[in-house]
Amino acid sequence: MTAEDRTAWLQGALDQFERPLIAYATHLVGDVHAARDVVQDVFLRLLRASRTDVEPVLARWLYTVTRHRAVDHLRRGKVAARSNADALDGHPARDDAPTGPETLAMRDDARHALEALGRLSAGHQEVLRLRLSHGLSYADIALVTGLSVSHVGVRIHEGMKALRARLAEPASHAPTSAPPSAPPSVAPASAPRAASHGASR
Amino acid sequence: MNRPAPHAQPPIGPIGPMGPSGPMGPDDPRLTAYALDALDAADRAAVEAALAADLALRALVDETRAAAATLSAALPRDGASLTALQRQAILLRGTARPARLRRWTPFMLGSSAAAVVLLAIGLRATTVERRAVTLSAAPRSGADGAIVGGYMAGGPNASELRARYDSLRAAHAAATRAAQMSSTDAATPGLQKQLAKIQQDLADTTSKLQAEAAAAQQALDAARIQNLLELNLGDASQSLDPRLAEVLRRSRENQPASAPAAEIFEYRGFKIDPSRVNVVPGRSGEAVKIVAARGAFPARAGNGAPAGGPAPAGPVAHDTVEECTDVAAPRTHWEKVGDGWALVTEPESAGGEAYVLVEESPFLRVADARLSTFSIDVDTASYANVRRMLTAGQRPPADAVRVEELLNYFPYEYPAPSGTDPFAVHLEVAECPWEVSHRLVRVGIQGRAMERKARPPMNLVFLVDVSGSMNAPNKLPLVQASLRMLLEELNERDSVAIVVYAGASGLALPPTWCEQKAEIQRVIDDLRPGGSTNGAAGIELAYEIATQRFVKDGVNRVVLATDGDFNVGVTSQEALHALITTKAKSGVFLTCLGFGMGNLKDATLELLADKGNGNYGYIDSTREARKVLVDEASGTLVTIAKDVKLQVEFNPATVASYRLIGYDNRRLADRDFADDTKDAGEVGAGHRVTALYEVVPVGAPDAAAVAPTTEEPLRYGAKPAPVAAPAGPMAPEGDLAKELLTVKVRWKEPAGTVSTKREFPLVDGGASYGKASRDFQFAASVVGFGMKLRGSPYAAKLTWEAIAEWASSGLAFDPGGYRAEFADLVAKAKALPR
Repeated sequence: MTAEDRTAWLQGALDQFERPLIAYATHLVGDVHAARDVVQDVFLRLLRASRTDVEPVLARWLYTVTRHRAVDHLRRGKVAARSNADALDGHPARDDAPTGPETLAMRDDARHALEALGRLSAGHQEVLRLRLSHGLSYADIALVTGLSVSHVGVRIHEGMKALRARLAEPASHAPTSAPPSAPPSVAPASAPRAASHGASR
Repeated sequence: MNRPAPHAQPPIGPIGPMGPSGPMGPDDPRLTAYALDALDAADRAAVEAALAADLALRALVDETRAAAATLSAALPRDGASLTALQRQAILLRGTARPARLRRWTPFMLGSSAAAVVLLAIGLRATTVERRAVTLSAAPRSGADGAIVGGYMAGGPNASELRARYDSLRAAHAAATRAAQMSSTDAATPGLQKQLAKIQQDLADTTSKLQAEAAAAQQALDAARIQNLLELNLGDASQSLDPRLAEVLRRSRENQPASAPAAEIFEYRGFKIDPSRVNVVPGRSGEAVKIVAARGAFPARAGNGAPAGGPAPAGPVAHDTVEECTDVAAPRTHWEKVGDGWALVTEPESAGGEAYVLVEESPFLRVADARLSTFSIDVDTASYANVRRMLTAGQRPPADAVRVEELLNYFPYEYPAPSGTDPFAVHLEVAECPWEVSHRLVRVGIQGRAMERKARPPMNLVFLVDVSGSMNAPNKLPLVQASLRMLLEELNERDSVAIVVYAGASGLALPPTWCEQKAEIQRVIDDLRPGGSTNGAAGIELAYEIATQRFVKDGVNRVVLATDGDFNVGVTSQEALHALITTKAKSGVFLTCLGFGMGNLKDATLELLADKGNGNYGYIDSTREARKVLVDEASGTLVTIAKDVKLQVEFNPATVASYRLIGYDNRRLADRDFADDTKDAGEVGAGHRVTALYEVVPVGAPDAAAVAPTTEEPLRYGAKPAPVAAPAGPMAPEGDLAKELLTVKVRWKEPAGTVSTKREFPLVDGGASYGKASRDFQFAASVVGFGMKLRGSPYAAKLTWEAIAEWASSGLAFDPGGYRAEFADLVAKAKALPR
């Protein structure tokens, strides 16, 4: 492989995955600066990895390494954990928050959907994001998160159930009380599922 | 997973092949997976079969799809981007790797001996000494505080005591640190014992030092070139000595100090001449400070209490007499003052900043003092400090503004010496812009450029911590000053790259030959603190670049500048150590420079340096930076002349009085000029030094006014009568009579013991300010800026507008963009509230 090839490959990987990975890492570590550090490190690791090994499973590899780096980062306690709501909901001061026209145009149901997502445990949020935002397959999500495929299925199912319930509520509902969300632990432990009972059908 | 299922289906259905048997309930995860289009064919068929039979399930799937679409739309797939630097770092690494392996592998071996040359020298010794003071700065005992600002004569015991004191403080700090770090009970009793012993020793030495300091107060008075008195008067309106009150009143009403009826009086052991008193508004508004220069007055009455000792119970209880301002957060070093040593503090942070009093030099009559002598040794720290405060919208305290340091911060266009002398002296005289009847004389010294073959070429990669914690005056700005200093020493054979790390790790400056100094300086100047620290990516990148530019038989070094808050980011500490160890074997060594650190963090750096065959230095001031990075690092190769002293002899036929602007702490006694045993500053290769004199020519309207009234009536008069100056030679005649002054320079060769002298006479051609060189005009604006910021009484007529205008004339020559920055600072100073 020539240096030019390698550069082109790297450039392509950066173009395709840089911003999604930072979005994912930001959700995990709760801080866009730390997320950038994490993702930079992921790509530096990509340089050291064997291209033939990684290339066929590039997305899975990148998401997995990002998650591991993020967990390492959190374990070092570098970043004070933020609440899920803060990390996910469009917090005005954050540069990963939706801004400008996007925010203005955001409809009620979209806000409600994000709200509902914010009430879920970190584990549930993560699988929903990986599926709905990043488009990973259940199998890839399982590999990235270290869960079994069926566990991924259950989490997504539960998450969607809570989401449906929230979106079915009348639009006047004002979310005032703090949701009983778990801290954004991303360790592959079984997270409480309390959020899925937030509203009964 | 023990949730009661409303249907017979197990609550958690596997996502996998399933038989079509059995009804499918709404809690079957496959329904969701189906809605999200994540099922394989077999499961999809099963779900579709169930949906066909159950309308409610179909509704559920539709609802799920809608909710997923909503959430999907609300969740941005993309986050923020990497910073440009981070991207660059990644791409650079991607391309660099194969090239490096091909090109440089042969050189990476066998050149380690050559690689130690430059930065390895001298750092060790400095480290020990420096950390001694630093470590002890934080845990400050009462005894320590008492002698901060103290003074010790240079007697036979002095250096021994001083060394003992320093080493004890170091030991004390180390032991304290060890005790803090060791939480295990086993180690503690021994440590405690050790600590107690050290504390006892420290207390003993401290009291000895205090005794010594008290005894040395008289010597201090004698040693200081200008004795000075600072009175912090508190609320000056209360029961103040009426004579002092009168001085204050005159100052407030802008009466000329030399107005009649200003009598010399004695106050608390000081003779105060109202015509020589500077009144400086207090920093916080409530205090007024009187700075009284005693100049030619006899030393303080012998029975006066030592100024640094306990304040005598004087008639006025609410003021204090100080030689140095008190110290809030001491960072100290020993500084040679006259023949002795003073433990002086360095400015650290806003609020609690402590400055050694800077007394502005008054006009001196040529009849009184024909000679003006000073050492050319200068810092430039004050400029950075002033810049920091102005940028933050604060007015710098007067004592923080040291005019000569401002002046020497900037490069000037002095031609290099042509002969064999190590430096050239360039003189210029023109109208003084703030006092048109006065003349301004500029003395410029330009050191010879270095012998290029004298030292190996260097390949340096600066790895600079720009994380948020570096945002302190003694951190990033000091790093920048240090790098600038080091850059001054480099030439086109040398290469510099800059890698920064923080939230962004990246290449701020690709390897650049040092002939492009302006570009390098620009990058150095542009470094800004911000973000969290991720050192690992940075250090890898730095090594990568150093290896790319590997110079065989040269100095290949990564220079890490950080405050020690060096965490390894997302890489393990072990991996980092392994990396550094490996790289050290390849010939790229590591120098760690610590800036503004607390107690515990330097352990990391020291360890890194150890692993990297490197060395470790602590830099707490530009003085130290010069020492570590310039003087010691490149050793005698850089110094081209030592003990460089400057003496200006004024011609009484043409000059009535004069004033050296700045250099208030650098003045030497006239008799020391020819005394080769007296140390003075060194000139490094390519160094420049600039000094300005404000000269009152004979016949100027205020020639009499600026010459202070003294008790020697024979010296009155606008024109000095030669017969009335018994100490000086006869007034010159002929051509000599036209000369304004003569600059005499003495220096020694770097290894020499006997000084050489050169003389440079200056004749005033009567140039107007407009005809002066742009360098001259710029220098005038810098001193004007400094004087105005200090609230100097000599700058009463100066306006910010004028200063800004003069500064703009110097912008044509602006390597590094320093002058443009200065113009900004003038605007900032102008905008400060009065």
